Amino acid sequence: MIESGFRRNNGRVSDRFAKPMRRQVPVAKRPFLPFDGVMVMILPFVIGLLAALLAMRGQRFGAILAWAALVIVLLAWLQYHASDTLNVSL
Amino acid sequence: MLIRLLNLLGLLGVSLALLVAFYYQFFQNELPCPICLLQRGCFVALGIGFALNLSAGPSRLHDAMILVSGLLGAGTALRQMLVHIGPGDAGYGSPLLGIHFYTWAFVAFAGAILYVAVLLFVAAREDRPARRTEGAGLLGRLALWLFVLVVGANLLSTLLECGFGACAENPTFYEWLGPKAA
Repeated sequence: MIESGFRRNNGRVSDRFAKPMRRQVPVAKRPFLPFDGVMVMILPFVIGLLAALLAMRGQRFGAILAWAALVIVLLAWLQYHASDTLNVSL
Repeated sequence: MLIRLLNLLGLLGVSLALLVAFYYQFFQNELPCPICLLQRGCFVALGIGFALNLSAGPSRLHDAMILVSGLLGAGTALRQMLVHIGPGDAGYGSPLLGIHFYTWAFVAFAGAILYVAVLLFVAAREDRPARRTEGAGLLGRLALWLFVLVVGANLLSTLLECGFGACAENPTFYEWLGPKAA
């Protein structure tokens, strides 16, 4: 196991045995998402339910804010999932 | 009066589309893919505009929300159509009347965009005030409750299928029930 590029020497970290860190190569190219790895598929429906409840109660401002958040999350999730290369000439 | 009826029909149409998807999910055992779930999310966003028109009174802002949701949904459905458009591709899921659900979804979202044009046209003819506060009425309240229940059911079914993480690209079983339960 390589720990931050240094070997342990009798419990002390010595730079005598320092090895260059292995370069991290991405396994699969993922589209940019600021919270990549924390993908929660239910999030659009949680926000959607909140917006629907607020809309039902006539709380216009809150419902519009929740709707805007829903649209942003849907766009981000679409960018995350629409990763296949299309086999079409556009 | 006509505009309220149109918004009521719009909200019922959104709930109906989500219920048909539910029928295929639970009675035909066809689990929705992540992009399919996003299209459902776009239907929910669409419904919020109609719901606000019913509960808070018609407004151009609510119509714009329907328009944006319709465009986002149509784009999402079109993306899935293009994935499966190649020759020999069987598509995802079983077709309804010879057309796959994502294509139906595209038709529905395009229809919603046209529907907004009708709403604006009727609003201009009715020369209504900017907002009304007369409430949704009994039918409107029932439609709003149905919509909230359908959105809540979608939340629960997505939780069952995907748990608290990402969904499988091609799901074959419910994450929370295990492979044998599907």
